[in-house]
Amino acid sequence: MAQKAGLQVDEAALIRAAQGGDQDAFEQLVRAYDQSVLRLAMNLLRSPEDAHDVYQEAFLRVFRNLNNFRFDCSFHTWLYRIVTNLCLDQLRKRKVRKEEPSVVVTSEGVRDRLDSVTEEGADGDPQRRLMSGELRRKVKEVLGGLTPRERMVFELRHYQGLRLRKIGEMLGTTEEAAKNCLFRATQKMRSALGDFV
Amino acid sequence: MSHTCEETRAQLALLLYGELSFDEEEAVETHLEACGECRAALGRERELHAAFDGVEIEPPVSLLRECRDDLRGTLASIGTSADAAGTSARATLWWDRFVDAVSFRSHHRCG
Repeated sequence: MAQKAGLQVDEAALIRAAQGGDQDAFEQLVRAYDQSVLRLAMNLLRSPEDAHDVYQEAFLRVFRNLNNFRFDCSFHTWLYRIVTNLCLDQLRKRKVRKEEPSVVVTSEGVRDRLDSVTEEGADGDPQRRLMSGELRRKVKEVLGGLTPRERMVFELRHYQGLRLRKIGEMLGTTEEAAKNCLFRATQKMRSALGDFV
Repeated sequence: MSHTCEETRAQLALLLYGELSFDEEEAVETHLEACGECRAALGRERELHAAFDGVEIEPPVSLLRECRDDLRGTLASIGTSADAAGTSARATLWWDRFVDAVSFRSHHRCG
C-alpha cells in the first residue's frame, strides 16, 4: 500500500515535471505505460501497422494535452480513455469496411497472429493439436464478430485484467453498462465455442 | 436465495472474473454446492477462459522499439519547429521594437 502510494507520488511528480516541459519526465511517463498501450492496441486491432499508429497518436495527444490534465482521475485512466477511443474508432471503421487484419510481425516475417501462438497443452498430440488449431481459428472468428464495445470491454477485462468499474470510467459509462457488455460478449462466445471445450 | 440452473450458468463467466456482488456470488455458490451439472458447466467455462488466454499476443520487441523511436523523432521535430517559431517570434519582436524606436525618434525630430 505504502509502495503504491509512493509510486503515485512519483508519478504525480513526473506529470508535473512533464507539464513544466521536462522531456525526460515525459519519456519516463511514456515508458511506464507504452508496453501495455501497445499490447492493447495489438490485441484489439491485430495489425502491427494500426497498433503503431494508435501508439503514436495516443502519446502525441498526451503530449499536446498534458497541461489540461488536472489529476481528476488517474493518469492511467486518462491515457486509456485516449487509447480506447482511438482503438474504437479503428474497429468501427473496420466494421464499415468489413475488414479484419490479423497479422503479426515475427522473426520469420509477417504471420497470422493466431498461427504465431504457442500451442499450449497440445503436447505434440496430433488430435489435440488439430483441435487446438481449430479452437484458435474459432476464437478469432468469434472475437471478430463482437461489436467494437463488446470487444473492447472483453479485451480490457480478460487480457488487461482491469476491473469493470475502471473500464466503465475509461469508456465514459457505468460499471453496470460495462458488466452488461462483458456479459453479452461472454454469452456470444460461449454459444459459438461451446462445442470446442 | 439460491439460483436456478439457468440463472447460475448465465453468471459463471462473471463469477470467474470476480465481478459478481457479494449476494450474487453467494447465490451462485449455494447453487453450485448442490448441483453437479452446474459444477461441470463451471469446469467448461474455465476451459473456455483458458482458450481465450491461448490467443493473447505479446507485441514484438522490434515493434515497441520502432514505436519509441518514431515517437521520439516526432516529438523532436515538434520541439524543433517550436524553437523555430520561438526564434521567429523573437526576431519579429526585435524588429517591431526597432521600427517603433526609429519611428519614435523620427517623430520627435519632426516635432
